[in-house]
Amino acid sequence: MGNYDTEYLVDVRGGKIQKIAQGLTPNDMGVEFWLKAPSSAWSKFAQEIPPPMFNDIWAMAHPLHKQLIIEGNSLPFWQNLRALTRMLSLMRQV
Amino acid sequence: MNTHDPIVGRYVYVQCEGKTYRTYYEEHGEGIPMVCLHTAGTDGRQYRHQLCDPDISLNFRVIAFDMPWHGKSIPPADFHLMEDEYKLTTKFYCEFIVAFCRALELRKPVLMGQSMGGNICLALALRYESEFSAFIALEACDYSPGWWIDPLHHPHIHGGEVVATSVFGLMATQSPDDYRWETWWYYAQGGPGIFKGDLYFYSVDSDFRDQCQKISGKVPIYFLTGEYDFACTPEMTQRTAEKVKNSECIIFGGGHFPTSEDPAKFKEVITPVLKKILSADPERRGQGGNALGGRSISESRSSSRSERPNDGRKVIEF
Repeated sequence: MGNYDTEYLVDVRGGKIQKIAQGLTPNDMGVEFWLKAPSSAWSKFAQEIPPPMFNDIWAMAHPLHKQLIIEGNSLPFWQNLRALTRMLSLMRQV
Repeated sequence: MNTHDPIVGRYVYVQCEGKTYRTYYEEHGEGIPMVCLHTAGTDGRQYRHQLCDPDISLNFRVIAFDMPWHGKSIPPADFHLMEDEYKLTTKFYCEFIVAFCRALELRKPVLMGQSMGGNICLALALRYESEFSAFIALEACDYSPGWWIDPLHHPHIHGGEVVATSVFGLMATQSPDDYRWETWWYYAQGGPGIFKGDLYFYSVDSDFRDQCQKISGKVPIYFLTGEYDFACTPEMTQRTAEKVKNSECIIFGGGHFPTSEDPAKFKEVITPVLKKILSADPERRGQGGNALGGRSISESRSSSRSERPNDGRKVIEF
């Protein structure tokens, strides 16, 4: 995950987040996919009640808004979409 | 004490394009027939709150059916021999809706549909306007590209989970959690490839951008779209409605599945529309309806769960 200035590595194994690290190192091999959006967009997404068009990653990625870019290996992205959606929604509870 | 919903479910055999479809439908109420169309990949359960609402059933015979391949309506008998994947077309969708209405001998019903059920209202207004008395197009627009995608039906991806989750974010975050997850569940129960096949209609086989202007306007069309809907944004609906004669466009604070994700909010926005339809068609309202245009919301309660319709609910009389 990341914004346009900073990347964050979220390592998930067996359904649990193993670590969240700022930036990537040569040891961080096997990154599958990544989501990038401006920090202003993530801030809106993380609000308890986000404004319209920031209520979902697909809303932010919508061609009309172009706030989010999803890149990488799309197969594990789709395979884990439910868990990913749940994980991202937790930002609204902290 | 046991409690029942007032809904009655039946099966009717519908002929369409040379095949017979055993079709499940649920209904309740009396008065103006109002046929309800579910969204892609799901079924008529999305209308369970409206089917149970005594304020609606007083004047409307509410009918929600499951399209073939959906819910309790089975596919055609030879579906296992099909060489191509399931794809809903505009032609079949139109013809099936009309055939269903004729099978139930409905005379000029109101048609209410959401998402793909909203978009098909445009095609029906173009091709079959004489069959209907009003259209209520929820989360509808003239063109909605980009949703016919392979991950929704893929051997390495759990279809139910990915289908349901890909639409979960279309709902407003503030809609009640219970109802948002119930809507998720409807999607997770769809048949393999059916959601994707419906989206063939939604995104590929329906482009009404150059046809909307040709709708005669003899039958009113009410467009209602939630501001959190990013598949059919308010701008997309407004752009469509501006081209359609005798239409109204209402934008409200909800998402893509208004009937099931937040039925209380939906009741607030649909009530004025139903009142207008009743005003234009007073002879056909139900026997009990005698307060048209009278009281509005007389009691307040944030949720109108249909299981206990008499418990402190909002009462809106027509």
